[in-house]
Amino acid sequence: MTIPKVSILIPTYNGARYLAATLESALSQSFGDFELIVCDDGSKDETVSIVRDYQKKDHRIRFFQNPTNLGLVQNWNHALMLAQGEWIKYLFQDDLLTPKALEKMLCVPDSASMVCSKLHYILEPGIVEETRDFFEKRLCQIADIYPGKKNLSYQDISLAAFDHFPTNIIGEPVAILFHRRAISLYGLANPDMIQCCDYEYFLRLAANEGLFFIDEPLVSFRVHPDSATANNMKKRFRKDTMDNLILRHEIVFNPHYHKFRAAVCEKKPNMDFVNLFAWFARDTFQRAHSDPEDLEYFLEIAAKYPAISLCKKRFKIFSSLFEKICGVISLRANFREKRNSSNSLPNKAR
Amino acid sequence: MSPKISVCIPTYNGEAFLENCLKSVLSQTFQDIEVVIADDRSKDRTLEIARHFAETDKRIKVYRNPVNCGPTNNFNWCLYLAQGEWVKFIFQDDLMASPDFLERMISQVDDAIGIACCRRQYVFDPGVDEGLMRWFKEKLKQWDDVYPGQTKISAREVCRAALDVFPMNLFGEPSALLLKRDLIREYGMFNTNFIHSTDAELSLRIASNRGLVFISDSPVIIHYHAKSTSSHNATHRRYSRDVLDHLVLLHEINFHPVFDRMREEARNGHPPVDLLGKFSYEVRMARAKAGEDPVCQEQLRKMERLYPAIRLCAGRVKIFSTALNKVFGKVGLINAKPIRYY
Repeated sequence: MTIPKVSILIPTYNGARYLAATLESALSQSFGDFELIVCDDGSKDETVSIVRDYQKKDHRIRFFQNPTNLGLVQNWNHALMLAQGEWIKYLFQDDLLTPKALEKMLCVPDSASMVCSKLHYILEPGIVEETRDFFEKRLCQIADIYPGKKNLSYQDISLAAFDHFPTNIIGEPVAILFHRRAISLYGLANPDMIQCCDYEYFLRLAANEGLFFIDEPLVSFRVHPDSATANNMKKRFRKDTMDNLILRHEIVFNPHYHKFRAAVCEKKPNMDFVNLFAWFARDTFQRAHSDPEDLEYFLEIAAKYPAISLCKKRFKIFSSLFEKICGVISLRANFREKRNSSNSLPNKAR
Repeated sequence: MSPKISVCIPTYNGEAFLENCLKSVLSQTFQDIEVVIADDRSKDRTLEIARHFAETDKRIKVYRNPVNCGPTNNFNWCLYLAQGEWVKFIFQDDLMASPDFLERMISQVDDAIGIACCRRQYVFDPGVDEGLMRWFKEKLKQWDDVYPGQTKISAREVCRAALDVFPMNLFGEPSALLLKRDLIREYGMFNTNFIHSTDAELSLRIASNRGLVFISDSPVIIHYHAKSTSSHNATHRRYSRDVLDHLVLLHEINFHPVFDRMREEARNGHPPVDLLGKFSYEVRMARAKAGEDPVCQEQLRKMERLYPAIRLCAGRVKIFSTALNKVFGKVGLINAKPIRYY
């Protein structure tokens, strides 16, 4: 069995509306040595029949149907497990590749294990004004932070991600091509997250391996009223606040992020990650009280990540003032000790 | 078509044993296997022996790592290269006791559980430390000592037993394990931050969620000699092995979402096990044991950088913990001094 160079993964769920265009854009790539894995999570529309039609025409399509509904993140992970290619490319059911996307993304130095291109957003009519505003104005990408820079080291990524936290600076998964070895080194996407799981996963990779950036829009990301991103905008607490909390937890406590922490602390020596996290955990806990469902969800996550409840209790009272006083006292004590020791030396000599 | 079992042999300077090990693998009655040999740039004839065998048997695939990457990374590399549905590790100096070893194992495994562990028999070379030998003979527990006569052990029972004998490794060396490859992707690979107990952590990570099948009737022979990885660590890296590994294992059990069930079991046990208290205690002990030794201190500092929760818990002293705890609930003292975390 020959191993293909690239695996294109399309996890699908009720995506019949745009799926044909997506498949078409993948199959008409100028770079042909790939397998296309479609992993359907129990769609109730024509998704299955569309894929079956294309499968008859093109033998590179491998089609899998999950016996049970796994949910979005687990479906991604499932597709990732099935991939055999050397490089992995996620493509979602409503996204598009430009015809030369793969070819251009593969023209990178051998050392790079992650490639990211610019994104082109397709804003379909009917989306909420707020969402449109987000994509048109507030969106911040690597190209805006490091204009003209191609080879971004893990330090660059870490600092940019920290400064613009929690904005997704890397972009949607469709813009990224990564090497398979990353799976064995950094694991799979975290299924406890709802909206930020893709950002967390690619940040985990990029904050260890760095990123090669192509300043050319090679892929299009479609935002339409039914898309996952637009839907997620509705339920605020679970999808924004709690995801944010888990993301922070991972950054502060996960050993995969130790390079991230070191890079940030190099530039900002007084950075206290745990304290920031503790503050956010308390804040989230208070916000969760407004709705019993939210509180239940918070407690469920806190049971899974015990560091949350541990930090929640870690109050620092009058922290800044207190620290300043303590700092002055300890400085003085040090000074006194030094003076004493310098005085006592000649005595001893005598 | 991918084979049913990938037999993975991570090798390093094993010319003296590899031949016997390979013979015991190739003479198995279960034939649908591939043998993955990942050589970590041995300085002796190991690679030559492996290639020689590969010429005679097409099921053997020999790989050589681009650089020497250490034992744990080599295990992970093996997992990465394996293509079979199930993965069976066997170390270069270990042996499959009988030719029907794999056949018996694969006939008893359960697809829904996905992890099986067999009985271990230890063989010692003359050079091995007396105390170590005695410990293995008298103290070591296997699954049939905990649950005699039971082949299927539920996730709950795994957690309970692991907490009872903590930190003893009931699963044994990777040579005793048979894993489903999908599970490795689901639960992750070997944690490279361990020196010695990385295998114990991986098997516990999977079995505490999935349960375990214990196979008592076909043993694997595990060879202890003066130079094997296990005893080499004992003389040279005692601090990392005894103190830091234990610390990281406790950290993972306390803070990793995968060990959720284990923590639940600890909370509901009779009496409940205070894992967090245990961890804080171990952190303080680790600091005390590091003492003034700069190498040990550096090792501990490195771990603290990787796992910031270590520092978080270091200040969590419990005075008269049991009595006070009952009165006030959980009381933890907090460091007034700001600590820089990274």
